[in-house]
Amino acid sequence: MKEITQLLHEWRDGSHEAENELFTLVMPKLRRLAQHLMLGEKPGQSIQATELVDQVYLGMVSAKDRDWQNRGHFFALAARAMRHHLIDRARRPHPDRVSMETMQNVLPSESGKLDLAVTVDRLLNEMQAVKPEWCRVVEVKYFLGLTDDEAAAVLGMPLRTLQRAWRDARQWLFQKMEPASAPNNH
Amino acid sequence: MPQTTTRPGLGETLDNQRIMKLVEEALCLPEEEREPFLKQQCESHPEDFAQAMDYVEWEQRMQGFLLEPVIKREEGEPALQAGDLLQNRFRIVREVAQGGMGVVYEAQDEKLGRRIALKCAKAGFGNELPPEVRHATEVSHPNVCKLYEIHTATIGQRLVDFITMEFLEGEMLSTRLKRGLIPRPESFVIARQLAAGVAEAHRNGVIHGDIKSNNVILTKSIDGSLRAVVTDFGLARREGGKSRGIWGTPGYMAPELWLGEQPSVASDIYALGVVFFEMATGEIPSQNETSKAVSGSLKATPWLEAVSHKPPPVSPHWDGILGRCLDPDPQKRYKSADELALALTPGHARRNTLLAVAALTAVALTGVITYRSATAPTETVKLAVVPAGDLAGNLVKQADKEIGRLEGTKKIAFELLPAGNAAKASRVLTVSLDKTSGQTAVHAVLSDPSSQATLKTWDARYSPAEWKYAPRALAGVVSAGLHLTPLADSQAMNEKAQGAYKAGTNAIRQDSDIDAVLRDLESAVAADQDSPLVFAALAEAEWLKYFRTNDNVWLERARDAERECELRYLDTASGHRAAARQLTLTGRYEDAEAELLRAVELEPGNAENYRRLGLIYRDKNQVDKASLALGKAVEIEPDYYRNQWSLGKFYLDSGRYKQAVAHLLQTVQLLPSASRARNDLVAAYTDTGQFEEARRNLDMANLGALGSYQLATILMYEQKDAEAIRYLLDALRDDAGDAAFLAQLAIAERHLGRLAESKKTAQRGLALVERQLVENPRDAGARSLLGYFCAQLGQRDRAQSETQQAFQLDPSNLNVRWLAVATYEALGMRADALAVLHDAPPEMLADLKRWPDLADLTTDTRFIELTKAKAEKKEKLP
Repeated sequence: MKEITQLLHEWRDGSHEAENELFTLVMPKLRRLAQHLMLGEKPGQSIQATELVDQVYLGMVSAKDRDWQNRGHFFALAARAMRHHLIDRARRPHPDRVSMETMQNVLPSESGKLDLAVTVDRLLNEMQAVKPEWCRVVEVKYFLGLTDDEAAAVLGMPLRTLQRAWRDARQWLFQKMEPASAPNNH
Repeated sequence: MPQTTTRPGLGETLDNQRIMKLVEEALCLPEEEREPFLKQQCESHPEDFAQAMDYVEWEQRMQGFLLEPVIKREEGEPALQAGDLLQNRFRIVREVAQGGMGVVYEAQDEKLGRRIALKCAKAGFGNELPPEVRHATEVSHPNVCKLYEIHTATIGQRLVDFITMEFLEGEMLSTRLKRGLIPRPESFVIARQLAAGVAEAHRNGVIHGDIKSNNVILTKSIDGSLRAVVTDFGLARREGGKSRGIWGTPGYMAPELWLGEQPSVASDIYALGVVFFEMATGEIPSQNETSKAVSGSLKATPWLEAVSHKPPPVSPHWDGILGRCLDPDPQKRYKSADELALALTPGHARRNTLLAVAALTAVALTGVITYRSATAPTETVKLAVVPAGDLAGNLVKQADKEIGRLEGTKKIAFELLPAGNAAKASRVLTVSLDKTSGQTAVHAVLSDPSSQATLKTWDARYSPAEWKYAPRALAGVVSAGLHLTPLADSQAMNEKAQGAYKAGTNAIRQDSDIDAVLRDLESAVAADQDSPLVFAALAEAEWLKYFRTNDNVWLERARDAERECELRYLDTASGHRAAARQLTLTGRYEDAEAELLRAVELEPGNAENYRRLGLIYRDKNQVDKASLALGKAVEIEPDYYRNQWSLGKFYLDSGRYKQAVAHLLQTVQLLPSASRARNDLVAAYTDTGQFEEARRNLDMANLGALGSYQLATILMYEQKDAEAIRYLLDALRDDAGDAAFLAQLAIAERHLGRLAESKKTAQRGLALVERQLVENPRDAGARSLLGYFCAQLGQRDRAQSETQQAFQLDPSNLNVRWLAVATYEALGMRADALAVLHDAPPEMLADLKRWPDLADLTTDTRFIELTKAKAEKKEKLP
């Protein structure tokens, strides 16, 4: 098995196999994070997404290999993993044990959120071809729930630049979705 | 596939900076103010306006699209609420802040009688505080938030650590900076103070780990001078057990922290540098693009490169210091915070400081220096209790024991003078007794001997069985009258009563079955005869029952319960609320206001106090105060339907219909069964012309008189008078005593050409209001209706005089105003009608425009001009 930092580099350079291998390595450890999906944690065990991902990162990447860049990549990977996990579960009607709980707990109001997430995922594939830098922003903001500060730190950009990219990305997605009537968040 | 982010050029970065900041600020303003704000802000960069405005408009269109992430950010509920008592000692006053690590509360240490801040570990963060925190309690320095103790308590089913610390009255540095830069001399003083505080902590082996402008509080010393305090010491780090990974606030983290190194003196100094930068420029150092060789051990990344550079030049005064604080190499920074503090000390003071630093260092090696930072109160009150007449002597002796236990507050020191020293007293409590028919009447007067002013008078009658309460009750008069801290045991309640008390007081808030509430509270009273609180609660419940049934028996009972409460100890928040209710019912608004203001003093975090205060102000026609107080209640507790309802009704009555809709809508969403609130919502929708929404909120199966009337009104707006009549007749069948129904009916009949019937209806109405005015001559609404009916029947002079009287009785009543307009119109006195509208709220004019009966008036050019003038006036407001 390749070293994780090597895999991260390859992933950054565009390797699909690297991505799959990373997911295999990383998903089991991010399971707790996956439980956050749309539901929030069970009481008494709250922990923030960033901490969780950080813990996994520190556990998987040895100190000598840690640098800022690959931490950012790791977060991007985690966000993408969450995205894939969610969409996967949404599509397959016979989920495994983890998402069984997830699906059973999805309330009527939650299924609207699920639909939205699926749509966003589809549109992100389109966005990837046109504005790849926005994709990662959407992943860490929307799928991973990072604050502006955290997202800027993770993606290695100045705060205001991140904020602008996030707004631009949201506008792009909103426009794509408008004919289907904009979601009403009340 | 992920790709590296293309780095924006310097120009682009600065653009983003300006524009995003503008957008952020604009979005904090109400919608109509955004464009003018941006126009004004972009005067120096006009090309920014278009871009910023574009973002703002998009945001308005998107309405929060995608802002809620798929992964829920775990907030955790506050574990504590106002009124909770921890460890039988700390009474929670209110939540003050939510930090990353925990919730901070203002609390009262009842044992020591002082205000403190209390910080709990956030539910779920392991509920443990790190061991260093114990070290942190040894740090005693004016610029470090004093930690008192660490406690462990059980909250719910969990074992939780919490710390008590100095309560700081002031604002966060970050908040202060939002208002503008701090003048340089002052910012240097702050910087030096912070460095000194941090230095002291380091001397005690405590690293902060999360210094930022949010963790700096600006307060005042006793002498009024500025005191900057660093808070949250020693709480940032965790040790022993799982590593928390790379943790900190991104903008303040030194480069080595990003690589996983532990926080240290050097990283604290770095963070201080960031705070100083913030003070000097208003923002934390942005990632700038000046390229420079990076130290070989750090790997190059976009972020790291940026953070690795020296900060951009700020000013000659700051640059040297900032350069050394923010050096990417920790070895190159100031060796200690003391060194930094020295660098921030103006030259002439430096020599002395050098010696002082040396001295401190010497002492620190041998022991800990403690600074007594007791804040002296600003006022000392000396009270003497004086018996008037021979009977009172014994009571005064016993009362002295109780009163002597009273403690001052932060602002007021209290001293009870021994008997015979009354000459030195700044306040005197005179007590006299009178024994009549088996009961003892107590008369107490609290006064200021120098000015002879009476601060408080109190009268009570005690039966022999209750006499034992009298001494402590006098202490209540004193604590209330002098604004002291009430006796802690006045809030006591035995365990048997507690369950029923809690159940009853909770149920009252939910608008539950009032009889069940009464049962609960009566059993609480039975279980604990000594507690003033149970009686206050019982009084509330009995009043509610009276309002529901109009049966005077309950009014009497409520009064009795309130009296029982006072006999024991009147200075409790719920006791004051009960007293205020009593006083309102007898029209003593000033006294009621005073009671509620004391309740606010005792319980600043309880929305109910503000709500009731708001209602008093409304009754007194003090519109601005009412608005503030009712608004405050909603601000403190937006999810309680009554707060929204009171505010909504207030807006409805003062002609702010749009705002009324917002709050009344909230009300019915919070409590869908609140049918009277729903009627109010229907009225608000009707007044804003949203007839569909109004209709939707009417329960067609169960209209009732009011509902039928409201539906009829809507139909009349829509010129469907024939249909309206049917509903008005229904309404009158259910409630023949509402003259407004008759007024509406007369209009509808007139519109349909049934003039004779219309006149008869008007006569019926006139007779009805005349009867009502005999019973209550001050009813302005009835009087204005009287004027209206007179106008319909051609009694011109009477119509005018009644209308004028109504106006004088209640000028702020919009119904009166509306009827006055209708009356003058009926009399053909257009100019007078317009005069009435001169001071009317703009939304009322909009409403009038929709009313078909006044079409002639509202198409008059003078009316149109008036509307325009009002709209312009609104726009001009900042």
